[in-house]
Amino acid sequence: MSRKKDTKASIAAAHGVDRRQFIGATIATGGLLASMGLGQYARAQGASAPAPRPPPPPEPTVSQPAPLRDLKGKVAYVTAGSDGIGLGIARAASNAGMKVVIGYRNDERLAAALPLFKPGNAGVIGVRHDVVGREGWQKLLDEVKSKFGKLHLVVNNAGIKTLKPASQATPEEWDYAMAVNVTAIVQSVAVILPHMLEHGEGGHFVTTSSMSGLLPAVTAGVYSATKIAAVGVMEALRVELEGTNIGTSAFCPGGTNTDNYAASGQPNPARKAGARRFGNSMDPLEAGERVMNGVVNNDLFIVSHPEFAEGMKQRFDAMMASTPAVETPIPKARIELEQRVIRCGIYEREIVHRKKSRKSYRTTEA
Amino acid sequence: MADTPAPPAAPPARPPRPPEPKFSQPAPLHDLKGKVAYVTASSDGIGLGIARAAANAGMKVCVGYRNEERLKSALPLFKKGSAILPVKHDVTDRDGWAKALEQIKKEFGKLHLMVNNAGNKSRALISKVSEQDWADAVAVNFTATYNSVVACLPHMLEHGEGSHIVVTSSMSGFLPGSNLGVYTATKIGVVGLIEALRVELEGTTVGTSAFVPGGVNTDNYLGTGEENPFRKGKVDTMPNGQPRPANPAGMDPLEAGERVLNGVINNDLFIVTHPEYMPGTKQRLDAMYESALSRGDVPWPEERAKGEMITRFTGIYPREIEHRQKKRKSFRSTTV
Repeated sequence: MSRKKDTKASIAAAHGVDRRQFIGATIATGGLLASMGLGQYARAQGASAPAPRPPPPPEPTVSQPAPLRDLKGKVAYVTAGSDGIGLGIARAASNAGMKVVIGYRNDERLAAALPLFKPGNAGVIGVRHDVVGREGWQKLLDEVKSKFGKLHLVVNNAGIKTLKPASQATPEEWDYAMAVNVTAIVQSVAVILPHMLEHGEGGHFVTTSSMSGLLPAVTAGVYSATKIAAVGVMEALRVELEGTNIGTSAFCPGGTNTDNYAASGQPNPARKAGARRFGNSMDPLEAGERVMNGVVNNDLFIVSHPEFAEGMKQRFDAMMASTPAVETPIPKARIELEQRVIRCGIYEREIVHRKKSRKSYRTTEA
Repeated sequence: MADTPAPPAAPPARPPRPPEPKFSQPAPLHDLKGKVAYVTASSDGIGLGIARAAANAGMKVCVGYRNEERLKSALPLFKKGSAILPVKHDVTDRDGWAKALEQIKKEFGKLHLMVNNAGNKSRALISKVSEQDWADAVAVNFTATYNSVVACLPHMLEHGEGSHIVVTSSMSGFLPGSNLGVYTATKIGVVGLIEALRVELEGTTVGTSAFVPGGVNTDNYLGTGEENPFRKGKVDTMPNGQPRPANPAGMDPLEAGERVLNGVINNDLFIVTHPEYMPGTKQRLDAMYESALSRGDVPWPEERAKGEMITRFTGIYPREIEHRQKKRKSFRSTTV
């Protein structure tokens, strides 16, 4: 049997797998790479050809409609929500009519945070929670369910703000940064996604990455690399969950004044006098409102600081400039085999989605 | 970032920043002859391609392996007379890194090229992955790389001869189109790790590259612990007695290896071997860029932007673009 024919069979097999089915079938069938070559293998062995696969459904023409468009009465959980950007997000969620659960570890911080919520807003509770470890997430979900019944929005906001260079950090420092900045997202999805799919009212996962997740700068390599990985996790989740009613966003803020008392004119009781703060940076409540706007629009990337766009573009251009010259023609069969992975529809759709006008990037309404 | 301590104390004046380099980091390892390479997981697949290309280029090659049989079938594929040192090494074993480096130093004296090639080819989805499978994928695809940096970078800086660190990521590290979320996310992360290292090591004698291959003619079941169904039972063999690889349309692993070494001698930040993925990659990058545009938004405060200045631009990228525009002999040449 000629190699050419074999290749054709495998291409047919590869084309027959559709993305949605693939979500369920991946583990059972051994996945994409296996499906690419299985027909070819069967033929080489003289076995009967595999059953033809159903044709793939057409790619969606628009980006995933926002599953959580109306925030009123819904329940949000923000990790590390007792201070900094997390508190800004929690307050914005509360102002938008959500019931808010604040994940915290430090009692004093929580005590300082609670008075900043508007009196008369729906319930705000604190739940002590260390984001490392899956059991903690299960306990958290049980507690939220017992208080508010359901959970709709999870904001993975806890982060390690190490300034260690990647080339100088110890393995233990790396491990901890990975556990908090990346693995915690995966843990939260493992525990909370089934609950969201079960109640069916729409859900959303946000991860607080950083501008460093889109543009690694200065020499805080551990931070940059883990924040880039966190963005990658959210992109992978969008691919997986696009067909469900669960939305996904990576939030990439630039400079934010993480002292939530800055705008109130009072000193922050949980911070030492004279503690560092980013004087001219974005108010955390504004950052929170921009996150909520990203949620109600189901933005894949919530970028709150447009002054970084130009620098980001340089990074992306450097990646594109790395395209090698084609010295010998690329075999057609190779491109055909790669067909399903050389493009990823979510991005085309996201670009169209982004070009739509919206009221304001600070409104928490769709 | 400009941190403003609470008044009245004025911030101490920062020392002026050193001037930005004008050109991308000159390739520290531009002459491969006689230098020492260590390629993890190089008893098969892409790793073997890189190791063979390195041997062909006159390097002494340390072949990282875990499986004796794989090693046995790999060794005859090297050019006769190559200096090869098999190193039995599980990359997730932190102490094993120090031992591997000791073994290499004992045999060859120094290590110049570290290729972190071992990979976990998990097919799990992020939304369904078990705690253990996630931990395993992170351990091999991400953690092993910083383990190698912790173990090998001080040695490279100490001997002071031009050195280089490569990570085998994947086109999935540029474009998560394959719906293999765990694989994609870890491969994206490790590209970021290399970029961070470039920022930090640009002024040193150690170069950095992220290798992002597309389809390569290789056994993709390696490292998963599963038996490859393509190779189960009676399989086709190639003239040299090796099993016929599963994806004959993919790039030959030796060519992939040559392209990696060409990236090393040029100190390319990103070693892209499969241009057919780049239009899709551009869509991803455009989606990120579009998300950052202030379409209809209020203008940003100048003061804020000033404070963010050192994080708003990363000099390695414009320098890399310029570097990329230079002509080179061929992307497969292993000499400058």
